[in-house]
Amino acid sequence: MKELFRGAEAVIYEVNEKTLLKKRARKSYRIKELDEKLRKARTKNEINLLRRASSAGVCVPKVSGIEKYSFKMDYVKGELLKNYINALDEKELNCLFMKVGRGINALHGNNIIHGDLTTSNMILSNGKVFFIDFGLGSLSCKAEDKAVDLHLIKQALIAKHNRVWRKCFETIKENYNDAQVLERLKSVERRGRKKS
Amino acid sequence: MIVLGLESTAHTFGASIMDNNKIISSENAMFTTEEGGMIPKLIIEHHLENFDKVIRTALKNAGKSMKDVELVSFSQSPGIGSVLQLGAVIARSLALKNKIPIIGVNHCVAHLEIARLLTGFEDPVMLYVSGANTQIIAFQEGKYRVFGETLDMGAGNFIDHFGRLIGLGFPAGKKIEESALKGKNFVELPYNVKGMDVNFGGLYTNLKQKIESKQYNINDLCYSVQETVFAELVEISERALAHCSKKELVVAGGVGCNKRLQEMCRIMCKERGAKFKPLPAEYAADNAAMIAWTGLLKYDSSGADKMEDTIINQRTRTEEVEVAWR
Ligand SMILES: Nc1ncnc2c1ncn2[C@@H]1O[C@H](COP(=O)(O)OP(=O)(O)O)[C@@H](O)[C@H]1O
Ligand SMILES: [Mg+2]
Repeated sequence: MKELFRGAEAVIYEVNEKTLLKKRARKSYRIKELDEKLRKARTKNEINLLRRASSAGVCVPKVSGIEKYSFKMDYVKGELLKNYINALDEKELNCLFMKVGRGINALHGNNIIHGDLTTSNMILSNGKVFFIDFGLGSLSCKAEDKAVDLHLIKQALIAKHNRVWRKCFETIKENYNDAQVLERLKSVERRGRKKS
Repeated sequence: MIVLGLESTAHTFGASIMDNNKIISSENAMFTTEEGGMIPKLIIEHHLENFDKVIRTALKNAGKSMKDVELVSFSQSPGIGSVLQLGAVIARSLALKNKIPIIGVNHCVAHLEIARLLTGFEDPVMLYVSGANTQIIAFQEGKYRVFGETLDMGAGNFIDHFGRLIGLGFPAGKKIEESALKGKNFVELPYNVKGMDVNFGGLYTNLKQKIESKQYNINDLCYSVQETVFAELVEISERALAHCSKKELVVAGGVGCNKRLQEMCRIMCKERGAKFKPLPAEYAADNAAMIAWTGLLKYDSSGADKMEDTIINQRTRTEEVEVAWR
């Protein structure tokens, strides 16, 4: 199988035109017990959340073959958002982040917390925004967990796409329906940022 | 150009003399306790008692006197307010008395700049782990940006808090590192990574219960705490390397001196084809050479600060700092 991408945790192989294999490779820096536990739990978790998201109608790759440390999924052909954003004008950004916002809203509406919302984990394909990489995700109905998820994408935008982050995050919020979570976001930020 | 750098943000008071990009001397005095943590009032007393000696020794070891100094650079942000204030007052007095220019620099940015100087890395991701700070910092769109950080306490503070639970003084990192070497059994602990962020509150509560139950060997706990916390830190560092498509990693801050953490960083980088260089302990922890060096960079690109611009700021965020020299 051909290695296509190397993420932070996983190696992505091409099975065929339409299918990828995501394999969580052994990380020798951490001890075996911890490494196996994390890889197994995250693989299982990711599969579970991808399936839930899929049945909730969110754009995610469909999962097929499952193993202990790997699984197969649809090959989403498109562009990672992080490689794409800086070339857009304001109108295009607005249109793109409307889709991102609606996507996050749908995930949270189904109590799916992504856990690693960055522009490395979203793919624009045929005009739709697909979410990938749910290994750090969880199921939760708590406003706190959803707010931390929003904090992640905000922080990711500030750091990686500083020129346009405000506009992008505003658009996400406009397309996010749960006011209680948006309120909670403020207190999450006060906590993280008050270091002396 | 001969620069005097002064570090005073927390437990360490430091002074360093640099001649352009050469560190000629770097001295410091660190506040420590047998038991209990950092108390600002006691730190101030400690620094007041030591600053004169530290500065004089730095000058003497460099074979210089105050007359040779052409620029005074000091840590202006962030840190404990009163401690920053003390450093600023000393720096201003020296600048005024000797009629030399003064410059204030950001402590976190200074860690990154000295790391670049000493490793020769062009554009590294920095894992910065000290007492109060735990951040993943990298250069992006003209500034140093924070890609990930702790959502509650810094990793160093967490380690010190854990140290207090098992009866150790401040700082506890070194002693925990030693005990960890004697630990044999891995105890499963909460592992809290969210994207490129971490948090330690849940882990602390869990450990407190474990220690109170007296069912666990302390060495095993030290070993498991290190393995768990460092795995989290290395994991978020790797995520930042992948996300930013960067290929170099440095580790700074007091916790960055830990040999196990350095080993883990080295292995991670090797496995993903990135480069890692550890810093000498004295320049990974708080030091004044980094203040001198960053002051010089700032001076060369945008000149000295006006005296009225030398007000300290406890909370300046890394991404607020203007980086005119890159
Ligand atoms: N279903 C997919 N379709 C297309 N590309 C994908 C898909 N899944 C992953 N990728 C690519 O592989 C990279 C790494 O995958 P990801 O699941 O994010 O792993 P990691 O956990 O290592 O970040 C992604 O950034 C993306 O470029
Ligand atoms: Mg990813």
